[in-house]
Amino acid sequence: MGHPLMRLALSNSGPALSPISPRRELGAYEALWLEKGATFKTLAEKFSADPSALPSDFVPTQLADQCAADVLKRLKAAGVHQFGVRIHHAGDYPSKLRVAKHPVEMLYYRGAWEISETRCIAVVGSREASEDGIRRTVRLARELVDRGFTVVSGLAKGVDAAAHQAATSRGGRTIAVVGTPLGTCYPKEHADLQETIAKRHLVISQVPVLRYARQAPPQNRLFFPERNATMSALTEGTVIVEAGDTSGTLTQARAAMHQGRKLFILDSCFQRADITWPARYEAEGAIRVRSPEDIWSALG
Amino acid sequence: MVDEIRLSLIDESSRDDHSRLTADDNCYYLFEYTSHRGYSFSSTNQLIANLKKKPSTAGHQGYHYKGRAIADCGLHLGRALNPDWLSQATLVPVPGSKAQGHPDHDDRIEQICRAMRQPPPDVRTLVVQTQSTAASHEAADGERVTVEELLAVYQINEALAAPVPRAIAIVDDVLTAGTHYRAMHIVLSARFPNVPITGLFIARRVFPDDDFGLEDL
Repeated sequence: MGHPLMRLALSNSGPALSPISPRRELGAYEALWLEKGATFKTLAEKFSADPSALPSDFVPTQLADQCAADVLKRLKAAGVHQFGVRIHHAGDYPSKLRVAKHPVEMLYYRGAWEISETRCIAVVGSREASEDGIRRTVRLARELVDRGFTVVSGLAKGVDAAAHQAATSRGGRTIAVVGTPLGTCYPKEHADLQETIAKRHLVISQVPVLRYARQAPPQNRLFFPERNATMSALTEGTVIVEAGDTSGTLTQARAAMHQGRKLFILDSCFQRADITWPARYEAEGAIRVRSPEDIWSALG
Repeated sequence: MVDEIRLSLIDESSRDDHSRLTADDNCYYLFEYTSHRGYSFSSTNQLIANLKKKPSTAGHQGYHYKGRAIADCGLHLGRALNPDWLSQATLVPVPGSKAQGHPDHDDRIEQICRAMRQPPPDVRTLVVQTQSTAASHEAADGERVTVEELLAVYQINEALAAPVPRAIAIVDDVLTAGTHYRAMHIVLSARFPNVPITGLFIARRVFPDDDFGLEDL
């Protein structure tokens, strides 16, 4: 397994060099996630040590195929009949993901993958957003749509949902980068929204179906901040509408800075006396947004 | 390594998207694009649209992109193929929908094959089309050409049939239902029994997760 000689042997036999079977790779990726202690970090380290490897290079074929069958069965049972995967080294894998600290080798999606190739801006913020925060989110999402940007968010309560809804009702495009596997929704009351985005736009999930099904909610909660790094990598920039000092949203702020993506922080965040993060990120290069013009001029 | 794209295999997770393919078909593709959405901005859609520019529009604005798309496809496909296999294989382009002599007769697939790595592969137009058909991407749903209709107009080009190929790849730009592949496969396997046949495609079309994708079957 994973032995270079084995890979060479495979590539010498058929028409294609190291061909990719999406089904086998998704099964192998799932199998890697079932290994004890697997995280996005440990997986990224595995592939960084062996940059041409595919998930199936580390997993017995039979196990990969068995996991794939299990995933397909579960997704089908959850009502997901059409979905796709993007696999590192295969066509259409978004190379922009490679800037992430722990880039994902594979992700699932529903909808039209092409939307990820448009100019994308993430709009994120607190789940417990204030009324003002929601109003600002809606205004911002509409303006992004009017300027031809795709609004990306995480399908969470509060700012995320408002951003998705405002973008779609304005006739624009949206992408939900979710913290659950396809076929699962959190919060449950956003199931219809997720379904609508999957059918008309694009839902992306990097969360392994089998691992998620086998572990408890407290462990699964960790998938939420992890997806923020991918959301940042997929976009040109992230706008934070509202967030507390301990908010998961700040994972995305950190990721954006690390990935060299633009980080925009609405001025209202700076005016709060109870938080310190806005000034800290501004010092690191984040852009303070006093008017939408500050965003457009930075994006060019 | 960054730009090297590996071929993906049509496996059990994707075979149902291409209704004319059988479980034994061994088909590979580089890219995917979503059917019926007209997302002309995506790189794969642009590549395919440029490839399909009609020869009768040569000289019109943007036609030069066709040549670039052909070169790109040849490069990507050439890099993704196993050189040992390629040195022994015969690449057979799927003929364009317009027969030779038609103003829109298009040998783009043959050009892609010839644009592959050095030494040049064995490219043979072993199947020719005796009459024009409607281009699949232009035909209205339900009016697409059938395997039987293609079999009626496909002919083996006997002048190129020797030597007998050791391995055949049927090459096309887009895999939709797999109708052309199926017809080519029937014609070629009848003429060259026991020669292994593979399908090579630049892209396969996938259905969006909605209710109108099935029209394309």
